[in-house]
Amino acid sequence: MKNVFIAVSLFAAGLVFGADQMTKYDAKPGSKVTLDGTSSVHDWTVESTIIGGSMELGFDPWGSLTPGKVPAKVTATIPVRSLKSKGKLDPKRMEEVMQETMKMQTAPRIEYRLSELVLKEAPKTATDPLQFDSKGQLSMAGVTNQISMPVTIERMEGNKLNTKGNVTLKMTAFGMKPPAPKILLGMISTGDDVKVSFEWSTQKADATTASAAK
Amino acid sequence: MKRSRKSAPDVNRRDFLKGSSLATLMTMLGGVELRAQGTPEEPKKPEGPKVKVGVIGLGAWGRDILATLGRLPQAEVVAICDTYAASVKRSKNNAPNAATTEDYRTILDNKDITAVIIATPTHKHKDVVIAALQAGKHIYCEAPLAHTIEDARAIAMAAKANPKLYFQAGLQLRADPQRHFLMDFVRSGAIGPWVMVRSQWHKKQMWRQDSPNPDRLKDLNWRLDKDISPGLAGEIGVHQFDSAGWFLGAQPVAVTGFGSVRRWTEDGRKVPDTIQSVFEYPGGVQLMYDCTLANSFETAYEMFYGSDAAVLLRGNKAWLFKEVDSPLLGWEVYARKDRFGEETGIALVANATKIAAQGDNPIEDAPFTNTPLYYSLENFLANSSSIGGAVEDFIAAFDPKDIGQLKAHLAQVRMQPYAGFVEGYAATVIALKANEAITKGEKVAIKKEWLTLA
Repeated sequence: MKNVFIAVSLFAAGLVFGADQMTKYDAKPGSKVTLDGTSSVHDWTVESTIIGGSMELGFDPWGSLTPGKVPAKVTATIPVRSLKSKGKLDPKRMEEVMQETMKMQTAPRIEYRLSELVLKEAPKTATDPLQFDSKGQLSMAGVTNQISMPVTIERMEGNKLNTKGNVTLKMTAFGMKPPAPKILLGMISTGDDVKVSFEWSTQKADATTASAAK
Repeated sequence: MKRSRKSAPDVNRRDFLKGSSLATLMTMLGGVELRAQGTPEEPKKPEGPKVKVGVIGLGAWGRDILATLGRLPQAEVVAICDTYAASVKRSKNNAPNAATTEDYRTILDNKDITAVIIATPTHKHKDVVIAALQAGKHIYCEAPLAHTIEDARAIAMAAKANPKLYFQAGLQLRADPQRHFLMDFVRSGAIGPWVMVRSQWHKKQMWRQDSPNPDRLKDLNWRLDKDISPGLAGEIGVHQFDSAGWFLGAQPVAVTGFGSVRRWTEDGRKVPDTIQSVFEYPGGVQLMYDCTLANSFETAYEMFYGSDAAVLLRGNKAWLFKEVDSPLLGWEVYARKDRFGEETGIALVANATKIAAQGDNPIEDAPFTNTPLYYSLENFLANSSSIGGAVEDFIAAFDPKDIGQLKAHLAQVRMQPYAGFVEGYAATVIALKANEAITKGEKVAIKKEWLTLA
């Protein structure tokens, strides 16, 4: 009976913290997402500085933290057209191929929605990055898959959080056929694996808002 | 002996008369054709949705613009406008699906239209540009921007105050890929230290148009009204003055001008049909320019002289004329020998090996076959789309009021070559100062601070 009481109390506390005490962090300029792939000629990279969306955290990143699952909501979006080729070999054509492969006309944004965030260990110092394991739904090219990846959150001045992570995906898992474009020198074939790396800058919203109030 | 296809062709008089091409002429003169690497062009695929465009001003140049837009798959001409109904009617063939209007505000009120091309008479640009910016349109404004420095400044300042909107001045040579290729070549030092620049525009034409309607006649011939006309320097020279300064990487510090009516005296015009001007650049380099409506000989060209070689730009081609004592350039290993009557010359073609490998004739082929206007409008559509998309993405993700960050974001957008309001303003001031010098027949200073918007 006592255990049930504790469980109910914790659940209630979780609800209170998970709903009414969520603190919102809005996306800010200064982010970067990079997609790195391979091809028969050389590796390719596209990059964007636009990662929109927001995080809502049910814990204080600057406060005392204990490992385990933490309440958090995250939605992040990246416009496909903002991804620009960093290569020198006909970057415009590369972008056209990428946009076509990612079905930009019907799926103009890459979208991510967090489903679970687990703090791996308590930070040893006030400046250590927070280490998490994450699970979430990633939608790309009109296909949604669950992905898992470790992420770190750096606690910056001015109530800013810098979230970093990377994950390797397969194009075919998202219904994309690795393209074989004809660019200047001839036919190029690309590999299935794409490494996605990101640094996402967010800042505490002007007012601490409760999700439940919305 | 049968000549191999890969060896140099003979260029005899019959070939010359048959072809009668400038390329042949220049090769016979010992010119080296300079050409960019490139494959035959084909229209680029539209990047996402087409750009919905309105065209304001349907005179002869406006109709050229409309016809060019018709060849660009990225363009969707939604509406066209001119205050003269007959001009609108004449333009319909080139934009059969476009709505027509005699009031440009109708185009500005159309929320579907994201970009406007302004080709009205020069003195009418300011009101249309400022209203278009207020209506949130990307703008292509013909050059010169205005007939007065005050108006040009007002236009440029309004464009500067609207970073979310893309502004392109109609200095179409700035978008010409042939010139970008040549820019790298000239700036590499291959022609030696600058000696001088000479350019001209010769075309026998009246500049007067007829109309049975007296009011229309006055409107139509605004270029001949000395109170509002920027003259040949403003209407024609602006492009070549800008090109010279762009290649030299400098702005003129003074201009001396002369002008007179040499051929079209019958109509009592006061605006010269023939002008000469000399621009002085820092360091003693000078641009000598002449422009006439009285004679067509040698049409239009620009010639850049260095102490080791000269470069001629004409149409979509260019040639190098080397001095005998000039140093050997690395790419001369690709030299092809041509016979010219009794003489043998060394033809140095930038992409000789590639062209020979493809079995093409390097004399007749050119990688950039479209007009500068085509490239300019193509880049306008691409850049409007890029800026529009980047603004939309930024606003969707971040605080739209953060103009500083927005500007920083837009500065990262990869743009196709173009002249913006800064270049458009400076070119307009230089051209108007040239017109002032021509009108006064004296030397006029061009102060550096007059060319900036600070």
